[in-house]
Amino acid sequence: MRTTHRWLDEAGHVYVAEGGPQGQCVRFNSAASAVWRALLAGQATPDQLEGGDRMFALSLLADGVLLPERSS
Amino acid sequence: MARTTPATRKTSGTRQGPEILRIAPALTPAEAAEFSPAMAFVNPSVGYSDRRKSKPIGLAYVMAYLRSHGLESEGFDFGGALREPELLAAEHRLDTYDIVGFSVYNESADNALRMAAWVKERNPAALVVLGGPHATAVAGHLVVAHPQVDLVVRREGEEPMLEIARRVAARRPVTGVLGTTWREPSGEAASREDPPFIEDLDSLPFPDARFTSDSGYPTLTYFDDVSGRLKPALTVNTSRSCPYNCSFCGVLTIGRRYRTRSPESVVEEIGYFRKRDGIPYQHIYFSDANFYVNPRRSLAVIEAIHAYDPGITVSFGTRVNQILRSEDVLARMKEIGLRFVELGIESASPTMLERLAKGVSPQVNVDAVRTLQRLGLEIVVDFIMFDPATTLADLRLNLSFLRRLGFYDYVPHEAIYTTLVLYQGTPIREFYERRHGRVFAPNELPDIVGLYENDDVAAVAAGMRWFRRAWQPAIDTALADGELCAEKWRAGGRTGDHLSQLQLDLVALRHVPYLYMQHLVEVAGTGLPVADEEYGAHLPTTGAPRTALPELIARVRESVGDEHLDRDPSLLTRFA
Repeated sequence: MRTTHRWLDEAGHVYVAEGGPQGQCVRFNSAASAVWRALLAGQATPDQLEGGDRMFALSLLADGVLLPERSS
Repeated sequence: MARTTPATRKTSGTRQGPEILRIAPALTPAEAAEFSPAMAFVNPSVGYSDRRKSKPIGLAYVMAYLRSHGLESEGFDFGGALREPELLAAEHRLDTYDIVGFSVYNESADNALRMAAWVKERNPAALVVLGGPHATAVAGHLVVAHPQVDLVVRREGEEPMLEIARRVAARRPVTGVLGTTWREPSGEAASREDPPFIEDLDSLPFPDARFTSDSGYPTLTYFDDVSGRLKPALTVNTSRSCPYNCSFCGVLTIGRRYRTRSPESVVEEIGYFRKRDGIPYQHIYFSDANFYVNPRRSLAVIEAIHAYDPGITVSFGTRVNQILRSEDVLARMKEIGLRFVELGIESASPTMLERLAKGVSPQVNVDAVRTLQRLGLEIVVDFIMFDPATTLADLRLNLSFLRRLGFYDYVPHEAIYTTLVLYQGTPIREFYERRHGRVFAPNELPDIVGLYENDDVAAVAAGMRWFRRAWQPAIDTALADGELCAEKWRAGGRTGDHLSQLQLDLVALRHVPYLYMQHLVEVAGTGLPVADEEYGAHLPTTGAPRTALPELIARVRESVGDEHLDRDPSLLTRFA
């Protein structure tokens, strides 16, 4: 997964600039931050996640905050 | 007695000396009807300015109560004044009143006594009365050690002040009033027992009193994120005291009997002040020491306000354990206008919580915060980072708690600077007197800097004082301007790199004081001394891309540039 958003991982949380529905900067809670890190590090894909984590990842995809990797 | 303007005011001349009060014959009914003592009620300076200064509500209640009994008085609020107390007393001719009452806190005791001395020197006939939490705690000392003080009114002031004013009006002795302490001719203190607490708070008139203030008052507002509107706000008190025993709390001095007002009375007060001020107040800050003691009662108050005007939002302060009592009540409160809760967290260390007699474990703090976060309610954090016996382990627990629960974003940054204040009359003050084998002077507010028991903690605290002096003003300004700018850009539909960078820079800027403290604690934990000259070397690099603090502030300033921004400090509570 990849993102075109600028983001900050600091003080235990991930912050995504313009990641909110009205372009706000959003802060993810600890669990969501862990999902974000795993997705961007290629350690997981939304399909590999379960329950709330999967829903969260899919919502990021639907909102365009996360994008699929470009196929080479 | 007819009063004149301050510039032409003269002393009444109705009395020749303080003892006359006790021996003068009572006036005839006709004479008494014509004489009403000139009364001034004064809130002396606490020695520092406060941008969120509000009217002294205790004095306002007393003044309104006297007026409801036909006795007018004038109010003077010098709460945030930085000028010499004698100059303020002279400017406002406090020596021209028959009765001068001071509301005294530990912080303002010296200034109150200096003003009282100035008054007494120029008008020995004036009756000087002290009240408030500090005066209550050291009533005997005040009348014995300070000849300018005639009387101390302990605890609630309404009834004793009314009786005192009536006695002065009738030229009857003012000694022996219930709830007061005075000086006997022998020089010793004498007291009457406390009167019963005022049980029916609805019977009190609303705290409608005008104060002459040296600095005026900021317009009280609240920015409601939900409606996106800056609202005119009003402070309302719906209860008195608190049934808990927190060892540091000055409310204990006034007595622990918790009493409440009815929802109808609270609504009526809002309508009263809306009409008086011609302002459609849309947010109510409940100033109760503890609004949420009885969740159902608290809900009934908010329901009544919502029925009166569904556009009104509210906020209140309470303890963590009470938050866990009734999540359903809080959820309903949110539906009908609750916006934030000021939460007395105080510490994440079990030993500190025990010293503070909070009666809760750190897990209760965590659960309360998570409950409010789950409900989507904002939290205003009350925290005591440092007390004399704080250890590095305590500081680590505190920082870990703040970090874990997302409070590194929190502004204002007071939580990491706040030190315990050893108020007179509180159990924690007595605890440290015993622990340190010393007795603090009656009016002394001990400087915690000299009381730290752990050198590493003292070094961290000193580093935080340095940081606050050196960097906090620039951070506050950059955050205030930057948040407004980011909001303006976002609302205007601007997107792209500049907005993204500014948003992340603001997050980083919010983190800096916490990260700085975290670093100081880490360094101190390695046994390395943190020396004065090294404080600047510990400034963190932060943000994305990682940036040193001076450059981070400069980048935010550059982003803001020439944007025209309508500054309002309340907007600092927002997260752009």
